[in-house]
Amino acid sequence: MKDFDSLKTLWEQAGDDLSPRDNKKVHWSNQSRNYKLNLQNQQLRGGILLIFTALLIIAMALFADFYKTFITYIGMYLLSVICLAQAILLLYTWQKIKNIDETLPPHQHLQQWEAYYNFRKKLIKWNMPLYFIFLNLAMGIYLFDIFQARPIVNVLIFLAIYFGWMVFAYFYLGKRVIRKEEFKLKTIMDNLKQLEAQLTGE
Amino acid sequence: MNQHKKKFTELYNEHAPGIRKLCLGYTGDGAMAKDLLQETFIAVWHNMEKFRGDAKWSTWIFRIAVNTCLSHLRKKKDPLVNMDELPLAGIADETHHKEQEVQLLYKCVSQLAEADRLIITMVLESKSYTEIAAITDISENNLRVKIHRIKKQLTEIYNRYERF
Repeated sequence: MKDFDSLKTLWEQAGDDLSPRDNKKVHWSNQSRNYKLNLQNQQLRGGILLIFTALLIIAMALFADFYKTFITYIGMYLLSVICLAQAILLLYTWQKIKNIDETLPPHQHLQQWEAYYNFRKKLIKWNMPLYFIFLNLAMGIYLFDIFQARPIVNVLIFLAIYFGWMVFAYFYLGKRVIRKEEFKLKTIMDNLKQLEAQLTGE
Repeated sequence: MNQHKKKFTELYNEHAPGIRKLCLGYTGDGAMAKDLLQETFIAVWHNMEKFRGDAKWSTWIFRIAVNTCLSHLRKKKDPLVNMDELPLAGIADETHHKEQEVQLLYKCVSQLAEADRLIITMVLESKSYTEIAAITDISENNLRVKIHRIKKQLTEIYNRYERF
């Protein structure tokens, strides 16, 4: 019969080597960390892409040789400003996720994710429709002059394709991305709640 | 950057053996413990600038290790080690062989509930209750009760299998 103190002595004498055993029953999960990186990269990629888009539009306005008037210039500059503003917002969000400190105790770590989740929910509520409206307004200003000299059939075909794509992007693609993001956020928070419960034994 | 690297090397040399034993106690497996140790120090490297100095370095690193261990194997529902897998017959034949006693102790620790394994390993590593409380974010009173229960449980498991 050994008491705890004997076990402690045994532990202190122990080396730190153990032979591997059958690990088939063990499920490794690095889910939360992967999801964090995934959410972070999504914002970073979006931000960089929008900056390039804005720069491309500015370059086109300045150097490309095609039909341009005062109104098309306004449309193009507005488009770049909207893209840049959205890029800033995405990079700010990226920074916010990056700042979440995974080295804190689970309870505080969870609080940070909850704060981010609330921030993100509020942001999506106003940012998505506003970005969509302003983007289309700027596009409308740009196209207004372009369409003046075009046959009505061509204009209608273009508008049908354009609005079709916009509706698909907003109501299907956009919502799907948000659903996925919400799933990842909730998974991270649930994992942290489980972790906290394991430690506190609740 | 050099300063950062120097500090990291210093921290690794000082704390890696303790963290490795924590991971060994948690997994009961050398290879898995090595992976968890590596994961822990990757997280330490990436988050060093977030260390605010409101705890000791060792508390901070052990907390990362505890979080890493729990989040990596948390999904596991069954006990980590099936008692049938333990080389108990061999141990019974050579009861007094120190190395086998140590192996049995590691395996017995890995029989405990996941968070309990980490807590008892820190006790075995002679960490103070205050530091364990800071690492796990459990109140000291709650921790004392837990440790008392885990000690009893571990001793019972060990003695049960040593009798074989």
